[in-house]
Amino acid sequence: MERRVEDFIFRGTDEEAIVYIIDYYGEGIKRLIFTYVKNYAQTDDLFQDFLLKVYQNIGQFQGKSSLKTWLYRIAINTCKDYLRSPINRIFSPGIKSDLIKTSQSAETQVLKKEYYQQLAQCIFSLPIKYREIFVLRFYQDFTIKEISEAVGIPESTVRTRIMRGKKKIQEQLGGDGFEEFE
Amino acid sequence: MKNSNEQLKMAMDEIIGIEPLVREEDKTKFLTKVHKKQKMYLVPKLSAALLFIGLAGWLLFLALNSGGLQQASPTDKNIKTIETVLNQMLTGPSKEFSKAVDALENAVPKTGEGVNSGIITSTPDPLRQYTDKYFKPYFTEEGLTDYINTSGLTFLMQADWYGYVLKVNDLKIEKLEMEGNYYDFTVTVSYQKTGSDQQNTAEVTGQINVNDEGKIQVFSMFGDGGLLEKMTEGR
Repeated sequence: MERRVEDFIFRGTDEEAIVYIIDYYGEGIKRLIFTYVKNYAQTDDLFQDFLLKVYQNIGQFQGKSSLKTWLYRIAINTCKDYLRSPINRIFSPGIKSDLIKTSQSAETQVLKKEYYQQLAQCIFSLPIKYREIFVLRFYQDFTIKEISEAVGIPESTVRTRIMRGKKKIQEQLGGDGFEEFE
Repeated sequence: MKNSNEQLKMAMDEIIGIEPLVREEDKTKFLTKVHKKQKMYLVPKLSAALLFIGLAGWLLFLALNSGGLQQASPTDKNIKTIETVLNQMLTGPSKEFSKAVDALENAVPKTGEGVNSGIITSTPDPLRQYTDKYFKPYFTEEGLTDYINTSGLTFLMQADWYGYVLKVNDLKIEKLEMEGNYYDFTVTVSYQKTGSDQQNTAEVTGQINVNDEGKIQVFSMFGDGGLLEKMTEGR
């Protein structure tokens, strides 16, 4: 069962709360950050920025949303602030080539695996407004409501973006790829 | 569908990395940072205030006695250039700007082919056209690059993102009496969230150096009076 930040405010220090957050949510959040910046060093830095923001605002968490969506919202805003800075727009790197090679060395692997690799590559090359929704929905298993809270957009917009994102992927892959995902 | 999801997750893990991204180092780094900050707060506030007052007084004394600041002539072309840039930097966002930001958000990165298949090789930048149109005429090439990389469009982008309207209420530019064309500026900017009646103001300050051809070569910001922070607070 998910614990609430209040547990730590009243029973422990803010630092203990952060350590708990790192242990229980850190991996998922760090992976999400990577999907925005596609660079490990920047992911490390942004994760630290995220932790600092949580630490500074932990007293303001009122439990209106779940702890998970509250944390993800902070992480998403941290990434967007970073990407919106003009200097970071200039140095927006692609996915590391060695990682691409790993996923492309699939000559001996079955076609099905290649298909999912292509699908994953397509998700990573989507514009951010679609990519974030796909990552949360299909990689982090968020519900539509949770995505809506974490990204700060209405549920109807989340659904529209999933639909349009699927269309973009189908255009890139051809056929009716992604139809099996809901 | 469950099986498809798992396979897709595995494929995404291959891109992001199979090994855990969170390391013990993340905790230590964060806790060290927090402890350092706490130590900083131990400096007595009174001492800091006295130091600040002393420094401000000393600077004022220097300025008054050496005539360091001199009111610039109204006909000074450099002042017109600076006024134009500051107005464009702190007024808006216009429809044209918002359209450029939208285009940027919807831009599909260009990916390479062959061995580079899947690697993002470039991202279209619709804001470049906007910058060229409104700022390029007033900057040296190097000055423009620095400006875009630092202050540039940050205020308008944040305003666009968080739904604020910025307007320049007052603009003071003073030429410094020193070698080279250096100007200190103070801009009073009003900011109002769309749909809200509440209007606030912030002072944006900085210094600009103009070359002999009337082009800005250095644009330095001193402070924004908390403008960026205020705009992001309401998200």
